[in-house]
Amino acid sequence: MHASLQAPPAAIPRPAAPVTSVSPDNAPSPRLPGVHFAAALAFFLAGALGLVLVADELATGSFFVPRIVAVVHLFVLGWIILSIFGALCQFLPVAVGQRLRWEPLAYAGCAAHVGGIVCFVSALVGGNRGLLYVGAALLSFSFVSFAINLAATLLRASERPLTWWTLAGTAIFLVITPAYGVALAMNLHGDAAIAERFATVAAHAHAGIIGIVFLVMVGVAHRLLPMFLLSHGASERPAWISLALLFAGALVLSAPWGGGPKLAVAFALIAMGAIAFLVQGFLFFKHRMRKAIDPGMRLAAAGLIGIAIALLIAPFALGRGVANLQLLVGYFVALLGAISLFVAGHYYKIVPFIVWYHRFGPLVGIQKVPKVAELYSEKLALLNGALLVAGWLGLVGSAFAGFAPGLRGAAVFFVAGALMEIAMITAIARRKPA
Amino acid sequence: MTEAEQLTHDRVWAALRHVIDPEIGLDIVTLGLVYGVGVTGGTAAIDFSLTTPGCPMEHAIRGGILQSVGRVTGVEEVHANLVWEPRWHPGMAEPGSL
Repeated sequence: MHASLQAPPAAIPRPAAPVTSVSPDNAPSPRLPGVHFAAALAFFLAGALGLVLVADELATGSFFVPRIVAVVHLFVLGWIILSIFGALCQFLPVAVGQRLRWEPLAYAGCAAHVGGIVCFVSALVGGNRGLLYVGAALLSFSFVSFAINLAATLLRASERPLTWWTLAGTAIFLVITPAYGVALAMNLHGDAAIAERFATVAAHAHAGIIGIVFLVMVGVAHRLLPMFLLSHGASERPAWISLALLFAGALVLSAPWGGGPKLAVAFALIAMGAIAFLVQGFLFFKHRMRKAIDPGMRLAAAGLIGIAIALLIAPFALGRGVANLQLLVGYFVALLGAISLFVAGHYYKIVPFIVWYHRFGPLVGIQKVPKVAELYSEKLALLNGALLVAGWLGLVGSAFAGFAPGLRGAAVFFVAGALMEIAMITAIARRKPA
Repeated sequence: MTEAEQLTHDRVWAALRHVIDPEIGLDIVTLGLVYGVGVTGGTAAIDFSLTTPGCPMEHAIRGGILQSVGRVTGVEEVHANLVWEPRWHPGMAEPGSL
């Protein structure tokens, strides 16, 4: 029964027991997500700077140019995947009640991941095949070791809610995706027809984006969005449908046979799964009790809208394939940019939470503590989001139009947004009680 | 309940006003997250809930309860009991607070 201060309830006698410890056994260390986030933000800036450098090539629809492939991997492997790994280190105790099984392995994987990206990107830009293989090997170690760590953590969980299943699916694609990538790296200089290479690249990219990024987004959003938005009463069925369709679609896509029909079936499943995910996100926002949306959630919402836009473009871009490279480039810019916005928004939720939890949480009840949202300036965070969204819109529009000056100008906005995000997150990470 | 226990009981409720849900920015009494307070001798027992199962703030809120109530005059021992029945919903918060 609910009781208020005005009407206190009757006394409830309790058996004697020691006072519970303030620090839980499975409280995650802030250092592990911290090193992942620091590296990810550095790659975010590097990728944004890379966009400025490859603006001319993007404007001409150069899909297979190594410099563009390098920039894409700075975003996907460096910014998005490292952010996901860091967030999962923090999120697992909340989501499945278990901290990451082997933290030293996660540190080793993070180091290998950073080294792998540096080698991989340098090799692509410099044309060094040996270094490319070293990078691919380091990245494979990072992916597979995280998959093992994640699977071992999940096996210790006593309950299996939707988030558990999304992360189990993610663990599978953490193994499949690099296998595809290594095969591509080994055939980078082969004489495969451009259409065949496009099919392989599209399968690799979408198996990774859907099997890892989207599945994590479905699982994390299912757990965190209702909490952040104070959303109650929203149906959770779309999330389950999304999980099933996205997993099935990514799995079909990863099959090494099937050709065109396989791709059609896979992309149909993925499209329906993505729509279900967007419906779930919409329902959470619609049923929120807190009408004011903070800067982090606004940016995440912008990311969801961007994903919806990319989804509308996908059938045309992927259907035409290499017959319209400009459309293809525009589609990938829209998709990866939208995911980047979603990730950047969550930094404003996750990092302040970690800082508050470890530095201000122990002071609750002893002295006045700030709210999580008071650890940063809302106005500056909104400006940060505006820079990133403006940059993304300019990039997408200019990519479709093949307008190089527009691409370069929008990329500068994106760089400014990335720089501001780094400054803001660093300032939050340094906040301490007075 | 003795007169002293009643006094402690009221002080415990007041102390719980200092424990905030840092994500929402409201204290747990205003949010309706405190389901009950019992005082027996020097022992205070607080039944509380969270806005959603698996809330990452559980330990911070529990710690806040232990620390805030632990400082109340007349309280020697604190039990913070997390309960899920009834499931919290926004209607439990004080009107107009959200």
